[in-house]
Amino acid sequence: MENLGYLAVLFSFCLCIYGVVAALVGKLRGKPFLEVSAERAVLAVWVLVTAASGLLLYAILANDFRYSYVAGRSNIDLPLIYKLAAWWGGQEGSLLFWSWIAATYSLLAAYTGRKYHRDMVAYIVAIMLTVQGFFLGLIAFIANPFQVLMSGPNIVSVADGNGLNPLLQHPMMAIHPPMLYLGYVGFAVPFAFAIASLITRQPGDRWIHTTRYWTMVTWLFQSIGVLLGARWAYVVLGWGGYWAWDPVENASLLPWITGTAFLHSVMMQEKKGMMKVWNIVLVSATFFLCIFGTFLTRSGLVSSVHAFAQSPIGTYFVWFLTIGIGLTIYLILNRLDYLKSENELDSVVSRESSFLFNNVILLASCFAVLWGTLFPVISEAVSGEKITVGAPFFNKVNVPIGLVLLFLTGVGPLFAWRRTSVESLKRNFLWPAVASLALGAVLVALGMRHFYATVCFVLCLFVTITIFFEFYRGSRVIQSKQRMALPLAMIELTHRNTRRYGGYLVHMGVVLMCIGFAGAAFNQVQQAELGVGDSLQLGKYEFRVIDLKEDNNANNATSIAVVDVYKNGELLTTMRPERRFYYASQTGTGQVAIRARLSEDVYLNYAGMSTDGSKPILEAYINPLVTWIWLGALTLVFGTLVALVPSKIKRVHPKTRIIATARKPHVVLTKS
Amino acid sequence: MWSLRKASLAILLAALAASAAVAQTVTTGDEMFLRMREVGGKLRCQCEGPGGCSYTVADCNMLRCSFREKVNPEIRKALTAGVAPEAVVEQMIAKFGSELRTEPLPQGFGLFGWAMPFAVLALGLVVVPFVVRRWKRQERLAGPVRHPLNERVVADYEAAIERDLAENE
Repeated sequence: MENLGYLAVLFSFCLCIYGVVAALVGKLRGKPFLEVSAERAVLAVWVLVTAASGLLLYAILANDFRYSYVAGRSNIDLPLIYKLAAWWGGQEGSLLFWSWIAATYSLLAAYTGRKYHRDMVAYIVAIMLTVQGFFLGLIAFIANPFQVLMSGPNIVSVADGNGLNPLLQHPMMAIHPPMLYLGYVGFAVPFAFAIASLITRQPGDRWIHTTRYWTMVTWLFQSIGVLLGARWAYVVLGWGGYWAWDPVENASLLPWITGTAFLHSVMMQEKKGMMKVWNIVLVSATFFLCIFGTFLTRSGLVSSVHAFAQSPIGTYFVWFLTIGIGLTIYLILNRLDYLKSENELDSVVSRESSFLFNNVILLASCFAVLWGTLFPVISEAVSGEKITVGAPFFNKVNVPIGLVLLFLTGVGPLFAWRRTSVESLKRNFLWPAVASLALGAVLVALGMRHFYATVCFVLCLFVTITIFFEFYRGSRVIQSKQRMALPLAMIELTHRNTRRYGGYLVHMGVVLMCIGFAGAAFNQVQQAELGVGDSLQLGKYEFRVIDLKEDNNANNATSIAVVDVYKNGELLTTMRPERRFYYASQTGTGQVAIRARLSEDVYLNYAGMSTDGSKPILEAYINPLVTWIWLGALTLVFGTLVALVPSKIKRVHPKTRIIATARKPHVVLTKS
Repeated sequence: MWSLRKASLAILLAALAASAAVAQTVTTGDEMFLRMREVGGKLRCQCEGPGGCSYTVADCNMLRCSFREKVNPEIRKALTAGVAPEAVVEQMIAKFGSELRTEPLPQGFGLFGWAMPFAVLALGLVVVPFVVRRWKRQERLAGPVRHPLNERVVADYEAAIERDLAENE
């Protein structure tokens, strides 16, 4: 079976090479049968990679510990859901998982291309198979998940495996990596469409509609992946936070930021025919940042708790990135004439300008994260001293940038396309500005002195009111015209332009998350060694240990502290933080207890045992407003889903058209 | 319409003010623990080998984290002896190495590290208005924009007109 799995990988790698050659030769030499053959190679690669993945999964589920990968990532008593998660729990398996997702995406991209972009499909197939082939090559020659344990010439097996990393044994870990991978790999599709459009000098904007749709889908997956990662860190790692600016966390954020920038600037191309070069750069940057993030996770270039073991595959990623970026830059420079803008800017105070500023801020934020992540490596190379960078640096740099971005989130949609009049500015800005400044005054009067948090709350209200007015004004018009209730009018309004109002909902999600982020400025924490009957006071809360329990099963031994929580002297709830010790991997992890409310979370972590082993060490946190982050995340996901629903009214954005011809050939162009 | 607006604004104001007020009323805990967290929050944990685990000493939650167990007693000792938290941070860095820093020092290459993100942002904010003005000026000078794709359309029209004229003549 081990040979079958490896052969499937090897054949699919060869098929990728064949597919790339067939697609390009077929297109360039005008041989359609070769193009069709390349499209069928995509299907064959999917079948083979699916077979290889199925064989690896079977080996994991059947506890086949002859495989080095299975022995290192699973064990007999591992629950079923985590056995499935073991597929992507290690370097080799996760590369195969990545390849399987890429193969599925390639299939969908080839289908979409054949149906809607017949003249581009050969290049789309060639690009997708090149990316796919790179990863399959790594699996086939560098990181083989079907490697068996050998003793001399014989295949041997171990009695039980080492088990999955305890930190990964959480239900969220069964969803978080697949979502992230769906995002990472998915960005290859818009990249393939963009490059194919450059090669074929696509007239019209149809391909950009397809690309935008793909980007939104993959952006949604990436968002869910990033947010689930934050949630996982909060409920599993036990340090009371959700984002540590770890290099691997940063790696997932980078393409998300450039993808966000693209989703905004692509509107300029669709509606005004502008920023074409910029959009191609953003799509390409997003894709290469995905590859870069994968390289970062797997090369050992920067240290991270999330990183896979250091391996030689980093060099191959560097080559792939260098060649890929080089070719993309060459292609863009070569096609600059095709990428010229069709319209120009009418006014600095316009929606177009706000998009430009939005992109600059997003890109600055992306650069700040990338710079901080790579700074230890850069400083070591330049000055010889490895200057490490942690959360304080990222917070100091990114918080002000984030606040400017939040401001633009409120301001941008209020500007009209082309030109915004003073009257319109007054009408749109007056109430939001007055209300948010009033809130600022109230907060300061109440004693709030944290500058960034205060500014954040003020801006959150500003953006909330602008979004509310956008919905309210539109709904009122529909309400009066169609005589329907306001909530129904609001749904009708959203349905008429799902993209616009879905976008506003996404903005609202960001606002809710920002409220949650600002709450971190007021976090409280306390720690103590507590025996049964001992208590810990933190603010108005008292934590009293009433029992210590043990609960062992075949997979792990669990210590549980039963803690009564009192607020202002009254019993509020009983919480049960745990500490688990996993037999197979001989490592432990905590299971925090959280009482989540809109105002604040009470967060209890079983941090360890006292030096004499008699008392548990408990850490109590009061984390204000954290729940708003998860509510914001749900709103963001909902908003994106709304934006993906086709609008009831199809909108056309004519940009340039010929309205007349003169006797002496001369074309009059109009802009709309 | 106005009353609904005002009511909505009042509700939003009250909700945000209430949540912020709740956050403000929580009191602080034990001072030594908090001072240890303050110091630990400025030191990068090294429990996963060179380069550290990417968490701070205060936040690292590895079971029996070897580095935290080594460095925490020293921090406590120094703080108990009355050394200021900032000085304790420098003491620990001097003893365990500069890898413990969580942010670059604002001098030498570290200053460059701090300045770069803001320099890029400033450059972007300067370039955008410049680009916008340039686009506007170009538009005024050049008149309507001629798209390269339309050159082909123009050529087709020219050919068609020439054909028609030739036929008519």
